[in-house]
Amino acid sequence: MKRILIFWSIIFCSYISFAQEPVETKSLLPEDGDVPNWNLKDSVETYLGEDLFMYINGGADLYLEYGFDEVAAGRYMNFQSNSILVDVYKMSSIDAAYGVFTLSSTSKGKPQMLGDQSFLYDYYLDLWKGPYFMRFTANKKDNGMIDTLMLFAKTIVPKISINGKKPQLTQAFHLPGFEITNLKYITGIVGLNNIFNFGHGSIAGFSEGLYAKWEDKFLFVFAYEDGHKRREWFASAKGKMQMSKKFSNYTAIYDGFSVTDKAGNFFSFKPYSKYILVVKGLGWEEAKAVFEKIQANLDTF
Amino acid sequence: MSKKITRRKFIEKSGVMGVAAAGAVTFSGLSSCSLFKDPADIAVIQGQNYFENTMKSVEQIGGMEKFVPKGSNVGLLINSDFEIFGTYVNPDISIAAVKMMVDAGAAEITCLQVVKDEYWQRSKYYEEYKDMLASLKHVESNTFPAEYNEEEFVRFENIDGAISLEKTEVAKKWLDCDVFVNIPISKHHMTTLLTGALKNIMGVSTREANITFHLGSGERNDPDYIAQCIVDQNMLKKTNLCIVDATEVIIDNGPSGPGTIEIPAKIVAGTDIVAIDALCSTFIGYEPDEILTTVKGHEMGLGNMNYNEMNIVELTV
Repeated sequence: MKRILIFWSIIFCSYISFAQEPVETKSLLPEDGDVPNWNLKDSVETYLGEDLFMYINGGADLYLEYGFDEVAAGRYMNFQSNSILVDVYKMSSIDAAYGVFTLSSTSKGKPQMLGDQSFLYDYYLDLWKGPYFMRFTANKKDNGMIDTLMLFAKTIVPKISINGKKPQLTQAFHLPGFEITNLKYITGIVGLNNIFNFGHGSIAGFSEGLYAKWEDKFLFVFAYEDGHKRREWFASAKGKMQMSKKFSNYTAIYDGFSVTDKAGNFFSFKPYSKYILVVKGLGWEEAKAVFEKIQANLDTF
Repeated sequence: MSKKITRRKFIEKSGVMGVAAAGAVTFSGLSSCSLFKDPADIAVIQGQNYFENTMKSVEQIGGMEKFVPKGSNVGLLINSDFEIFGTYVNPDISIAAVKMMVDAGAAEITCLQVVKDEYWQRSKYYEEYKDMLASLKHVESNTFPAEYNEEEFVRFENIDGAISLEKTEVAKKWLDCDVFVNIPISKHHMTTLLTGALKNIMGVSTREANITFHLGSGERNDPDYIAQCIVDQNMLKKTNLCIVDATEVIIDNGPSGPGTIEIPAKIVAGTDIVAIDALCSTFIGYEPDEILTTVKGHEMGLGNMNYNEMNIVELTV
């Protein structure tokens, strides 16, 4: 009986292992004929690790900060010489792929029922599925081309068995009654610089972060390795903000502080456990209610 | 410290009294230089006609003939190799610049980084000027991702005066040209925050050299290191003329976008690339001292980040 159990355990584990075995990224790209009338021009290119700099002209830093394994890229053409570029980025984790996807997204994207999440723009489609971030780019804005982008995506998505799950931190902005938009998940300063610059070294050292818009306000949560790290970085942020030329009217309030930018926008900063919470657009008293809601969500982690 | 230039400052500095109450100043059909005693150090022209305004910007600082003597060989660096609007120099600006150089009598204009036909074709002026554009030469192997070759690149090791840049590979034509004209776009960059005149110099290098800017310190994305490398490379050759596209630019998700588009609708011309970057950084929401390339360029004596100390002409047309 014991031997039978061991046998079936091995078979089961092998199955699980096989089912989740990452496929070769290159093999995900469509072959000639997979999308009717579209053929691969030249061969699929692949770049590993820091070789990404040889593929992306500006922006490789961001992928590497999230954690990047490999990209496979192929350009396809039809008989009318239209072209579609397919980039499939295999990131080092599901969180990393989600992060790149969110950071690449803009409010102009139309959500699609493809992959774990996808947005269609006027000439390209961004898609997140498991540890993969994909971009399908047409060489021109045209309804027919947009439909073809979707066909390309539909040939790839079924080949990926791993489903994505959003990072836990995203639940921090699960705020019923708030219209949260433009959610972005980041893991370092390059990502943050793409959203907002608090000034060199003021907000830094975090292991992950979350940004979203709520009406005309910005919400941020920065998560640190532990409470000790958070204390160090919060003290640093306080010091930098007091010296900043970008911000003024530094006011210490309880355990947090507020400042205003040159346009008169309030920024309220609050430390909580291993997190720093920031609200742009509300003074401390108004921000307090928002902080409390976010803190309640963080308490559930 | 630097302050944003105001129309009042322009009026004061340029000595023009009569136009003070006029608001926007239109120079259409006028020889603008005749209005001023001395050419400006920096010209900022705001308005919708980017082609015409490029010409006006250079007129304000003395005219192209001042920078491109007849018979000279020009090295031209245009930030053109991006695909999303707001990430590359508007080609109307580049075409206007080339036209001025040709009219000034440049013997040869070499694009230090290949400028593709598809870039020029995005301009409404392409058909009118395509023959002129076809006459441009290019450093043919300097197209992304450029690889070193002895014919078109030169290697530097142990660079005198450089603080971080230990070695680099740059286009020979950059070093050999009589006049170096730098045409960047003032947009967001995720590592350096600003891609402007100083950062654009990475366009004359091979990809391998540029990667060392990003990774050479041993710490990935070390902002101090990359900024210092950029400034160090700028010390190899002076920019003789800089024309910046600050018309319609991304202010986040740079350098390749897509990002939020800001429309300062400005074209900036001058020779002090540190001052120009300092000024242009304010158009996209930064203080000059937030941009490390600007700060380090100032410290290295490459230019003056206190642009308010300079004679700046700012016009809305």
